[in-house]
Amino acid sequence: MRPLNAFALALAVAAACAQQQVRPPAAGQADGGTRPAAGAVDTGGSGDAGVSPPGTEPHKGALVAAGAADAGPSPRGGTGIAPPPRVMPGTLPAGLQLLELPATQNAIVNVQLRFRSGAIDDPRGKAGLTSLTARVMTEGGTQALSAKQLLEALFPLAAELDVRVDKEMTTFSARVHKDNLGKLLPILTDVLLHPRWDPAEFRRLRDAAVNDIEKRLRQGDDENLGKESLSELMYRGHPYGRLTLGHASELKSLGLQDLQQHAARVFTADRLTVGVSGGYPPSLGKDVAQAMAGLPAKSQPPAAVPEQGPHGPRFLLVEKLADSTAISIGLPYDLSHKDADWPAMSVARSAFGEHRQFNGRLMQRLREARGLNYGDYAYIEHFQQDGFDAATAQTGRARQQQDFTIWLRPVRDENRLFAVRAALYELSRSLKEELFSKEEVEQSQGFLDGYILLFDQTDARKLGYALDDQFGGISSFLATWRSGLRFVTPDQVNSAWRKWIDPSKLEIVLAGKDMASVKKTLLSGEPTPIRYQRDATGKTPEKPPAQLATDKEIEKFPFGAQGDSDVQVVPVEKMFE
Amino acid sequence: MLLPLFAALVAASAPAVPDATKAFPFPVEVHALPNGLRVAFIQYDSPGLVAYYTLMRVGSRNEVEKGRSGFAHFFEHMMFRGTKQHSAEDYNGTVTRLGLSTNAFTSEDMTVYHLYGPAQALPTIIEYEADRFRNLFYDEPAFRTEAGAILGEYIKSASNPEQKMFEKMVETAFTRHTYGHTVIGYLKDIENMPSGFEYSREFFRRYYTPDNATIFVAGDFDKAATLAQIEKAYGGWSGRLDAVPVPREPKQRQSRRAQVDWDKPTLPRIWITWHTAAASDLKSAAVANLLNAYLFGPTSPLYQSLILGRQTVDSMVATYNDRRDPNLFGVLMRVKDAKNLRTVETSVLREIKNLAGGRVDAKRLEAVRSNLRYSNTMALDKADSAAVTLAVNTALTGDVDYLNREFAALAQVQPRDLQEFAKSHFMDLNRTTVTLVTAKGGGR
Repeated sequence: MRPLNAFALALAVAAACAQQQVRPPAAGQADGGTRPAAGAVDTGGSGDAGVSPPGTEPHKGALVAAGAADAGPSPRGGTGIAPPPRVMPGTLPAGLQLLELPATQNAIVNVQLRFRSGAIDDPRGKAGLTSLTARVMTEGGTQALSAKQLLEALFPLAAELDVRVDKEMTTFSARVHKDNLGKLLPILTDVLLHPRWDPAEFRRLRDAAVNDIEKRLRQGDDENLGKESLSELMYRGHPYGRLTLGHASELKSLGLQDLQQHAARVFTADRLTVGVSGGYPPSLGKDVAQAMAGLPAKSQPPAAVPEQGPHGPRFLLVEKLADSTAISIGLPYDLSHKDADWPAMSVARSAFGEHRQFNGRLMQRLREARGLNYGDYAYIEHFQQDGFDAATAQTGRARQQQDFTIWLRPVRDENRLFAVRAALYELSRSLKEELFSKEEVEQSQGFLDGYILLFDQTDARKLGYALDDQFGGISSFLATWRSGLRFVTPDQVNSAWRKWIDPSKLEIVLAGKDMASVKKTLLSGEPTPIRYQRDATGKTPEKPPAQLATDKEIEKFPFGAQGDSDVQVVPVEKMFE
Repeated sequence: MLLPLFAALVAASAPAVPDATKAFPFPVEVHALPNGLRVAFIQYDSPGLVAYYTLMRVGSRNEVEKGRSGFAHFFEHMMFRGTKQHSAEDYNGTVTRLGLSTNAFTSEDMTVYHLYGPAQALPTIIEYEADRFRNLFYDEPAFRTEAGAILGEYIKSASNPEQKMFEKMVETAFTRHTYGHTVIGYLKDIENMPSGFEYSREFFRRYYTPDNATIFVAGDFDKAATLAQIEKAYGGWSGRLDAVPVPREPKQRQSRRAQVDWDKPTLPRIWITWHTAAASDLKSAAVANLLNAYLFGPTSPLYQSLILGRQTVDSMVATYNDRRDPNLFGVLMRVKDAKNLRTVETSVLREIKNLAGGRVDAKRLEAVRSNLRYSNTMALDKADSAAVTLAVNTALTGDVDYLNREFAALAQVQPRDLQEFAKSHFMDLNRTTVTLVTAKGGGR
């Protein structure tokens, strides 16, 4: 039977995988990419938003029919992705928009309420306000139902009611069997229009958010600590510059009234798109839109999102007690789905470090050849895995400003600086001495051509992509991407990669212990040779001479730190404070 | 119940209509090859896509020899190291070029290998999968290098206190059975993995045999042609399962307690468990699944009082799941303040006592049953989900129809069955309690 919740195998530090993290048998949701092994216990803190309780992510559905009324079902595998949805602005009140995917015969119905409001709306000194507000609305009860009654109403239906907050958008989502749609809708409406603002629930959820930062992120989830620290480093001085979940001392200073006022300011009709998909009745979209017309009509426009330039320092070293070191590397840029370079960049990224697959150079050379760690990947836009499926990125995280990142999963301290150098070395070679070959490009094209088909397998994910497309001002991103990448040449791949990736602009985070000595080495540039793992008898694996020669080059590859101020050491207690 | 599509919409391939009265509504056809390999075809309407799962009924429960914890999982990694005919590079390059999502996972009871992607890849999948299950070949250097990746897998979660707590719980609750160690294994055993080369070959000989395997194919494929290909590719796979007996866990006769002292600031935790039955006891498994939510789910009095009301507990998670051998039923709670650990424990025990005393809320039992049914339906959302669900449920007893039978048992559960379960399992002498607190000097 399907376990009660995503915890499934918290009992499963267990199911460890060849390439992927724990996957519980037939379990539902959990943040496979980033969640600690006993995921569900960190309910408050999946990924950075901290508002996606396990088991409640929208992620189901099945085949969607084509958009035009006269078209039959779209055979997805062969010809791909469904045509664009109907967007119906204009006829609706208060500037609100409606996006309907063609209804299917599936048993599940999805409603997503997407606001152009997110962490960038957090006022100065109130980091986390949007996230906490959304969570109190979703979990804290409605005027008709206390939090307890809300749970009791949803539970027998196995209905999922969830919210995801990102930098520029907040998505309230409901996923329910169509048998139960009638029971869920009034609750969803009340969550938005008549939240309970219960002081006890406010205290509970604020405590949970603070604990999530102080106890999980700082102390119990080093992989995400590295990623989130990098994000704050890359976006210093930028509207993205504070953890979406919030900063601990600022969360502690919030009052219930802050939340109420904030909700009226950011969850307004003019910022809302209502999305529906799955086996829904014809009037659903309009009915929900009509109800949402009861929201405050207008608000200030969202904060501007300026382009973020490089600013340094090169290194941020987060000092903490740990048995290994988390490493994240990145640079901000503004590559978007609309960009003509997107398909070429996606091919380069896949060949360099496909998420959770074996084909990328980073994975092959750091993990497979050297056994440095569990995985090594690269990303050309902000990425969080959705559930346990490596092929699914979370939707609802579209952004105007993007970043290129490299994620090295934790490395033993003795090899941490070798690992950083290996990543910089491989990136440098991919731009100069060892451009992506015709074979690598063709392989990655073949891969993405099939793999992209897995991205929007369910009605809920199709809806997520459609809403993200609307945000980005494009249509049918997946289909366009898939057809575009077929014609990309190795020259285009390499020139796009060189155009967008400048290794001198990378910023690098290490989180672990004894950072003073790391700083010393970073500044002195002394060699940091790899130490291969020994067995009980002291033997290390035999390695090919060519690899050992490369090791010699990597161990002295320049770190790129320009002096004392280019390497900052911060105690973990100061992060997200 | 799930109806993936109107049959009329896909008249061309006209799959049999799913049977909405079943927990697993999609038609399943099982074939057995002379060498013992079973093949299950799942009709799931998923044009252009196919999921291919191989279930090996071997997991950490089979790690009987001392010092070999984590080996089943390590072996899962080695299965990606290639054969004489198709090297690891060839395998990776091929599945990559075909656009397949490829992976594997290991649990206590099973190791599962899976690929999901374009349907036209199926003939190649069959060829490559059959080859590696029949002819796996790796040398000692590759074996030693892979051990490094396992170590990396262990340390990536090492900052999570629950990894340690999990180790402590199972080694305290189980004294003889191999559920007493985790799937990833003990750190010292992982560090020693590079010297297990010879043992790995023996492991392959014992467990990677056709009669210990089931293949699941779901989605868009031609059954007759696929069966013919599988028969051809796997027909020559030989060997018989040569399992080392797994020790039985003796009956627990005294309550047990252990503590993990954590060296960093974290919230205290308490985990309480009781030994229960194996998945083969369908009624017991159905009741245990119901009680997971009945006792510790979001609508339970415990959850509502400790999390929503008094707010002394930060999270509460029911930790039973179905297993091949008798497993633990219980609850793991994160408590906001160590001074409340004892009170929280008392609250759980009081609730258990009430249940054993016959206080059963029949209405809530119905709500839980409804939740389990709808959750199951909502999870079968794509061909890949259907295949993995059938594979992991088959692993429990070997019965491909296990999920349906368990839900049938679930439908029969009466309020008094909950009471009976409580009376026969939730005794103090059958209980293990593990707490985790930050050691003095570790907090700040």
